[in-house]
Amino acid sequence: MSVNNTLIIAQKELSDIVNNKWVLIVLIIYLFMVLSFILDVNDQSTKELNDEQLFSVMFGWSQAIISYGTIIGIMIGFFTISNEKYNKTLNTLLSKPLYRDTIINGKLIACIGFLLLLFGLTVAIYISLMLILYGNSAYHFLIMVLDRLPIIFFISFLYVIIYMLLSMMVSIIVRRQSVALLFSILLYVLMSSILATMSFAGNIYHILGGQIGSRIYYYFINLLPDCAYQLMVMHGLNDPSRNIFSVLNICWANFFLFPLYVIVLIVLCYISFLRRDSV
Amino acid sequence: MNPIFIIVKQQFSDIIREPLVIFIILVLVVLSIINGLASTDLLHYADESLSDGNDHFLSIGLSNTLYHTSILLSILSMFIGILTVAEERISGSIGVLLTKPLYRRDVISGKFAGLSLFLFFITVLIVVLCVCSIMVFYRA
Repeated sequence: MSVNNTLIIAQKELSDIVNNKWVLIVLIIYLFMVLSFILDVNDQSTKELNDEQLFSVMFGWSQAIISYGTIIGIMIGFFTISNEKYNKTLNTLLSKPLYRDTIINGKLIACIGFLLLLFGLTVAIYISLMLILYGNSAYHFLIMVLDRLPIIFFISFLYVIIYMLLSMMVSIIVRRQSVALLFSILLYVLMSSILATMSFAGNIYHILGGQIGSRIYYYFINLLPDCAYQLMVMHGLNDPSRNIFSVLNICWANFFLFPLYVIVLIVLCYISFLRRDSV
Repeated sequence: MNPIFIIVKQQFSDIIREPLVIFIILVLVVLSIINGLASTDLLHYADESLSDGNDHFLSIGLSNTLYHTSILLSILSMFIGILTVAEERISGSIGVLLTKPLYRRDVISGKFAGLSLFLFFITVLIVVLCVCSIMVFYRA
């Protein structure tokens, strides 16, 4: 019965997300950005690409998902909670004979399902267009591309899910709708553009100095999802000469950081949603 | 008192009490102080090892942090614009304000002046803090 209720809520959430005009506007902008990203890749590579460059271009979708998909993740996480708080439908839902965890499970399933569909579609469009443009040169390593596609997709997907859950948690905790959205965006900007730069992490390294400084600096840098992803790329995530499992073997700590963050944030979302007196 | 000045004063006091605005200001202050502390080591190292003819106080010390503080300040300016209008629409206080014997142009000019004044003060505060912290710690 509980599973059935969860699926009913997930279905209702999914239809709410799809029918929301703001989400649709952001989706259109996202698809436009992804298409312009593909055209940009095509423009930059007018001359003949070697196999290594072409292999890297084949995984350009992961950068598109990480750059533009995160905004969709933040929007979805915000809308599932705040929109219902604003319309007072969440209070109605909570007064029904339903467990609170059924409601949050339904919301999480709907959000994750929607993002999975969207990013799956993005990858399909990107790879299809790349095959149309570079099919002749890329056919001999296509199996290798398909071989590491699920792992890179998994990492990019978890990256977006981290920000979606963060936005969902902020929307549960913060009562004011506009503040919740702005605070989610601020956290994204801080984590992706400020904390890992010279202005913060680099300066902390210079303040502490020596071995302690460099150790703390590297621990801190490795804890940020953006840097964890960049480090994996630096170690050859998109490099055809490197075996994907040897890359994961080197960067196993960076790789497990993503599921760890997702689990921690899901638990925090549960706790904050279950323990709130009124939402 | 001119109604525009009343709105300016109200906007200024409203926005300075916003938790999100306080959080961003705290982040900016922390970034400025950390930059000042780091310049003790960084600028001495740059003075000793780089002979590019640039004034490292400006080219490294200030530009190092002002780029990111300018990003945060532009985010802050966008946020206070949203908070001022959106929050008043949600709470309904803008409706009350518009029913008062005030011209709409006075309301919008008051809001604009209040927010601009606030942003001016914050920008000056952060730049002064950046410069002072580098001067104190670097002793230049």
